Amino acid sequence: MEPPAALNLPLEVLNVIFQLLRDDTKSLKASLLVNRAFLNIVESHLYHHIEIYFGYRIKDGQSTLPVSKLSDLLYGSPHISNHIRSLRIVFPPLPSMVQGDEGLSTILPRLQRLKMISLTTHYHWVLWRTIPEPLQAALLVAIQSSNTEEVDIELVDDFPLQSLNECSNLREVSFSRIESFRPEDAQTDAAIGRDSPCVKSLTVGYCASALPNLFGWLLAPTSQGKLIISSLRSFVFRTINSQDMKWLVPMLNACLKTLVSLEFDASEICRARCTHLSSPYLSHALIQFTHLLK
Amino acid sequence: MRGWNGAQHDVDPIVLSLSDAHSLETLTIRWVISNSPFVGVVHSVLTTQITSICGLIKTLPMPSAVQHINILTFSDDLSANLVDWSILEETIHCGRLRSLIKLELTVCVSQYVEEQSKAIMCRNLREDAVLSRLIHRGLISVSVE
Repeated sequence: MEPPAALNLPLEVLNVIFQLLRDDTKSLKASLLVNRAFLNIVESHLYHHIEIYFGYRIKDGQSTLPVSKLSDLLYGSPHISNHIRSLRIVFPPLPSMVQGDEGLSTILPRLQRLKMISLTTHYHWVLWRTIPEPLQAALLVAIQSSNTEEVDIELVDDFPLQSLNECSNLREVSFSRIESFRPEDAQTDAAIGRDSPCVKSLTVGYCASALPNLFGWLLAPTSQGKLIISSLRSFVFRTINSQDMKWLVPMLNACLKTLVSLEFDASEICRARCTHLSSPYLSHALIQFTHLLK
Repeated sequence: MRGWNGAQHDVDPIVLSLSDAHSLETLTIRWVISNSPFVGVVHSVLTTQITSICGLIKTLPMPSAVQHINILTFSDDLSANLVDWSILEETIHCGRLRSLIKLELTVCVSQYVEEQSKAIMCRNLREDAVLSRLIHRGLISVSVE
């Protein structure tokens, strides 16, 4: 009996097929067992994106692992670290829970091919300064790696924005639901010597009180004398605060010539107050936006 | 400036222009238009917002490279049917949108609006004289969520 046709497909075709199955962990795990050729291809897709958490989780995900399990996995199969390109770290509600699970600071240096790093929490927010220092340092090294192209920070306050000046290959940045960034530090000699990032895609969502710092950073020339957003192609701006609109003008002045996609999103304000338009706050937002567009 | 609810507001004279957006291909605006039981008042807000959004589109270069425009608005289930959509038609034909492939207009309603009312609202919008003409030409799509 001849083997199934799928086994004779070129590796490039199999690669594309399994790439489309990245969200279907169950099918990928079943495919691992077919043969050695499948194993080599499927592993790279199965471990392409990993979400890790500390202690316990409140949200299930197909690629979600506790830090301890990821540590065991990499200890048993060190080659898997080369497959991990995207890492989402979900911080716990209490800093003490990170301190009890510090293995991540030793895992991160082994993930040499990370392209995307996402920091978030399923709780109200996490303060960067409450994260244990060894983990802070390891995260910054990973973010500043020459491979890192995408950084996504959500609900993490007090993050040191200036550290992104050293991410020479950073292309996509997203900041969501952040209330503050760490005040500017003096640039290090290493930072001055490096190429500045040239961000192509920027998402700013619901960062009301952090906007002065954020836009101050985005609109300040780097050590090479150019803006980080001077070649921006995609800009998404989400807000629930009409006062935030004033930031749009200098931002757009700085990046409008290169923009291919522009999105203003204030729909949350409506969803949150779906039944009435009675809030002076919302009414003010309407008027502000109307004037902005006139 | 006085808001529709009578509150006094100081509004900064901010002017936004997209005149330098020569390479812009996709423009998305998700913004409240109206959501109130006071139809008469909200109707004016709704028209004002559509006028404002069209005003923003009219700041694009002539011609622009814009291919896709997504507008998401909010409304009660009556107000959207009272709007004079001719300003939208005029904006689409003003010469700036020669590269336009599709303008997607999505009207969001309260979660308390029944499915049947949404369907009627959507049908009424699609049968509006101006919107139906634009839909027939394949320039826009209209949906209610």
